[in-house]
Amino acid sequence: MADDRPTDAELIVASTTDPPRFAVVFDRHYDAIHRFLSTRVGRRADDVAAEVFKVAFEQRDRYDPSFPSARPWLFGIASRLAKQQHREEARTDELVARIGSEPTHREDLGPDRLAELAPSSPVARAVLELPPRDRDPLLLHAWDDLSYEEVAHVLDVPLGTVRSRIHRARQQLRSRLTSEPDTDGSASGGATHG
Amino acid sequence: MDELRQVRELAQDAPGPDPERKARARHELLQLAQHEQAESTARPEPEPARPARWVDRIATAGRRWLRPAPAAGLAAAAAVGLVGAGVLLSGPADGPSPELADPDPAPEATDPGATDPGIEDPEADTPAPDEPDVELAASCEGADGRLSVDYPDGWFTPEEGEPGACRFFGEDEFDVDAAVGGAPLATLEIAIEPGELDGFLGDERGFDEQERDEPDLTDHRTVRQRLESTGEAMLPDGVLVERYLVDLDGDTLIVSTQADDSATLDDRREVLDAMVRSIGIDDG
Repeated sequence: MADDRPTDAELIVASTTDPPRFAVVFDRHYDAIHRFLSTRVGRRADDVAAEVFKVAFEQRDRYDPSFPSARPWLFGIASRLAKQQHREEARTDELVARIGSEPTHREDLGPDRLAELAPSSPVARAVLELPPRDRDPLLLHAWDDLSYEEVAHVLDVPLGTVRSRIHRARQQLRSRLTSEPDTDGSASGGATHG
Repeated sequence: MDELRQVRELAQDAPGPDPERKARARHELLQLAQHEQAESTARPEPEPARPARWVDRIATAGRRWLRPAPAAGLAAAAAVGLVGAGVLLSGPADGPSPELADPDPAPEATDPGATDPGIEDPEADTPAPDEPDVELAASCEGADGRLSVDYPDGWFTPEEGEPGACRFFGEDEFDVDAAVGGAPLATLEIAIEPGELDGFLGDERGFDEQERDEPDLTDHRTVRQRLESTGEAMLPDGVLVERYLVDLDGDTLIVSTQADDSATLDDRREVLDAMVRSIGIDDG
């Protein structure tokens, strides 16, 4: 059956004269953006996801309507906000270290929220061991269900780069998973391996 | 392939967002949108399409009623549940959103019978053939003085100077800000939207049309629709909306109400019909 619902692009364009229509974009994509952020900013995903849609709303006049789906655009905003969150946390840690205290927010940092979501999963551990530049496209593709083209848009890298990074990430994952013991994998060095 | 599938399975097991936080985020986004819309609506037109002083025009030139006003009858008995404000639905793409209250203060509701008889149509004493058994014992002026409407005694509309005056009506008093924010408080909404009537038909985004007829309520073309929300727009799935569209030659008067069940709308229809009959428009 044909889907005659308006595309995200149509909704966003319409929202320039009828702003509340942007709520439909929120309804369509909030869960996916939240899922993406849950692996990047942990329990702050709710706050950052809300911020993503506020930023998107405020910047919607810059949206390229030639993209029917707003997913890549929203993931791009989410990715930037997550990085900004990390930078702020890093600055806080640096400041705390300078005055001689222990960092208090370190447990909230980084994309390793995956470990919190699946603490006993060898797959989660293996993903965390990937270098970030390979891990990010892999997660966007496999965890967040973005196409290669969408991943390229989000990360602002060429499509070929996405293909090669995901290919490399999969090779590394396969290698780690085949060497992972059946149980919790503690013998492999797992999560502490650098 | 297998390693990707395993990552996907992990994602499927991940907890979803907190529904409460999600609802709050949506509400805040809507507030942002409605604030922006209110600002754009309040912004003066670069070239006013019509004379600015509508109230003065009414006082001096007289109001043209959409139809001769009905004689007084019994008190309105529509004791139905409160429903949400902002149900005018979307109109032509370049029109303002229906979800906002009129940012311009409107004159206060007046006492029954307080309407200046000098501004009524000479034929006002002639009852309409299908006059309802409903008394509309109060009246107010809205849309920046451009329209007046009678409503049942005891119904609430914000006072002059408040947003939503003579635009949102409730069977009980409600908080205007909450109503503007989409809270289920106001019973019905009346507004004049720019755009031809036909531009509003067939463009009910997020709604399925269940019924449509053209009742003889005014001297203008009037379309009455019953719509059901599909959940793709601002209302949850399954909410029923009854709206009246009155052709004002370039603008469209929209009266709308909503409910969760058709029986409520059926009960309310008589009151709405009477209110639509009572509407007076100053169209210059």
